[in-house]
Amino acid sequence: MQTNLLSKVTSDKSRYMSDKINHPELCQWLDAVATQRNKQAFTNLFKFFAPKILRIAKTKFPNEAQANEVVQETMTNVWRKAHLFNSDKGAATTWVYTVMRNVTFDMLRKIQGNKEDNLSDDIWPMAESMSSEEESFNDHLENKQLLSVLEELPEAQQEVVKGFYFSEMSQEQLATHLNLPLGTIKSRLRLALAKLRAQLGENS
Amino acid sequence: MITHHPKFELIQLFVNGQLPASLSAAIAIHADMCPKCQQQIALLTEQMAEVSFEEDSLQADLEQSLTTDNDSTADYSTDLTDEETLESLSIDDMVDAITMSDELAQTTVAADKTIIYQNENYVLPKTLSSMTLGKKATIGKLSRTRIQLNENEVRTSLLQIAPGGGVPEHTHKGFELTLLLEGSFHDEKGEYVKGDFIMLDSSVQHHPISKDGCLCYTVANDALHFTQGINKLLNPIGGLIY
Amino acid sequence: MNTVETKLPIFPLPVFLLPEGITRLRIFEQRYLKMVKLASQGQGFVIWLTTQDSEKPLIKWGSWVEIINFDQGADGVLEIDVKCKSLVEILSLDKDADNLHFGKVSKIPHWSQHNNIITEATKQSSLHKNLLESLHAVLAQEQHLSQLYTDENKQDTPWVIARWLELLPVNLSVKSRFVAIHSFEDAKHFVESIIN
Repeated sequence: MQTNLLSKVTSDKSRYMSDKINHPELCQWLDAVATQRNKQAFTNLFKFFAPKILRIAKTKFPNEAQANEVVQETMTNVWRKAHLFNSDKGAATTWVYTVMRNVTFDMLRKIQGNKEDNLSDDIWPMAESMSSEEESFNDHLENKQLLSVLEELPEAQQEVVKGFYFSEMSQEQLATHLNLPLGTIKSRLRLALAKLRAQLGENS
Repeated sequence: MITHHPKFELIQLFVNGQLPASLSAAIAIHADMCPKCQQQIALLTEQMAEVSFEEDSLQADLEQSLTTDNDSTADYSTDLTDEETLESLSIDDMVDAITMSDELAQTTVAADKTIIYQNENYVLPKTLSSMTLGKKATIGKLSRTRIQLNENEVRTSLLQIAPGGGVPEHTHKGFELTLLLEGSFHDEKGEYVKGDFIMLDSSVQHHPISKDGCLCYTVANDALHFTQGINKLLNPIGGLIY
Repeated sequence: MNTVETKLPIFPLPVFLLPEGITRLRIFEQRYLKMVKLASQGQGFVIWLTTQDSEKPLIKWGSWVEIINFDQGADGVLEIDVKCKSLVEILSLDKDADNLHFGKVSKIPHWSQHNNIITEATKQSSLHKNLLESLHAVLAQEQHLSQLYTDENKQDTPWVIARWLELLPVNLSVKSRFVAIHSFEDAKHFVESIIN
C-alpha cells in the first residue's frame, strides 16, 4: 500500500497545503538528515514535531510514559528512515504523520493484543518504491512513467522513441560519467528537486 | 473491473490508524489493486498530516478538549505551548540518544508467501507476509485458513472456493468482509472480481458461488459479540482504553 | 516576441529538446514519412512533448526542429537527425487524411538562444568548470551523442545548461519548468546542484 502521494496527485497538493507550515523548510531538514546525517537539522525537526506528536499521543494513550514512547519511537524512526522519504511524493508532514501513525498502531496492538508483530510496515510500507534500494527511486519511477506513456503511443512511434529517445541518461549512466556512487546521484537529484520545488513554490 | 470499494468512513479510519489490523490489511490490499482508493488514501493522509501538525487546529482541539474534558484523564495537562512541552521533553537528551546510532533502517522485502489449496498455488499479498497462519481446514470445495491476529471477536481467514463450489446460504450476525484476492464469484446480487471489497452487514443474506474458483480474505466478527455493534468493533482502540 | 503564426506538421513524442539540441529519430510510419517529405521542403516540423497526463492540461508548447542529416539505418529504416531551432507555442491542432497532425504555432523565446535575456556576466561567469567538462566528456563518450554533436563543443553557459537538462534523468514535467523564458537561473541552479 502506497500511502505517500502519487506523483500524479502532487499537482493537486496545494489545495491541502496551508501557509501555516513551512513545508520547503521541513523538507530540506529531512533531506539534510537523510543525506548528511545532519544533527542540527534533526534537532530542528524534533523541535517542530515532538511537541505535536506528544499532544496527539496523549489523546490515544492512557499514561504519559506511553505517550512519551510514541514521541521517542517516532523521532527515532524519522532519524533512521529519513532516507526513505521522497520529497517527490509528498510533504515532510505527510511522511512524519505516517511514521507516527505506524508507531501508534503497533504500540496499541501491543498493549491490546499483547502482540509484538509490528504489522504496520506491511500495511503501510514506508519503502514501497524503494524496495530494493539500488535500482529504485526516481529513475525507476520516472522510467516507469515514461514507459507507461510509451505504451499509449502507436507501435511504430514506440519504436522511434525506444530506439532514440533514451539519449536521456539513466541514473546509472550519470553516476558512471561523473564517477560518483549511485547513491550520491540519487540524493543529489532528490535535493535538486526539493530545492526547485521550494524555489518555485509548491503549487507551480 | 473493481466495483466494490471500502466506504469513505472506513478509509478515513484506516488512514488514522484506527481500524483493527484485519480491516487495515484488507483496505491496504484493496488499495494496492485500486488506484482510485489509493489516490483517496494519499489525499486523506496528506490532509490528516496537515491538520495534525498545524498549530491552529491543535490549539482549537486543545481548547475543545479542555472545556469538555474535566475529568481525571486531564491529569497530565495538555494545555502547554510547544515551548513548554519541549521543556518537558528534554530535547537535548532525546536528540543525543537518537542520533548516537548512525544506523539506517534496513528495508528488506519479504519473499512472496504462497499457499496451496487443492492443487492451486496462490501468492499472498505482501501485506499479509508477517501474519501467522493457522492450520488449513477443508470441507468439500471450501478450504479455510485462520489468520492469527488475536483480535478477540474479530476473525480473519483465507477462504478458498474450488471451481464450482460455494458458501451455503447464510446471514451475518455482525459484519462480514470479503476481499477477493484471486478469481471471481457471484451471488444473487451479481458478479464479483479480483480486488472487490465486499462489506456486508447482518441484513444481507447471500449465497456466493464460484464457477472457476477463487481465493478470498475474509474478516467477520463473532456472533456472540454482535450486540456491541459495528462501531465499537471498528474502533477497538476506544474499546481498549476507555 | 515573434508572433507570426506558421502552420507546421506536429510529431507527438515524449522528447524534451531545447533550442540547439539534437536528437535522432527513426521514421517508418507512412504519415511521418510524409511529414519528413514536407519538412525537408523547408519549414521543418514540431516535436510536441506529450506526457499524456490527464490530470494536467495538455502541454501547449513544442520544439520546432529542422532536419540536419538523414541516413538509412542497418535495418533499412530512415533515420533523421533533427536540431531544435526554436520553441513554439501550439495554438491549434488539425489532422489530415493520413492522420498526420498539423498545428498553427508561434515562436516563443527561450533563454538558451536569446542573449538579451541573460546578461553577459551571468553567461560567462560562475559556470562551474565541472559542468562544462563533464558535459563534453559525456558527449564524447556516448557514441550516439558524439555522432550528433560533432562540432558542437560550445562553451557558453546557456548551451551547456540546456544540454544537461536534456540529458538528466528527471521527470519530463520537471524539465518542462525550464521552458519559461526567465527560468535560466533556476535551471542553472538545478543542474549545478546535481552535477556539482
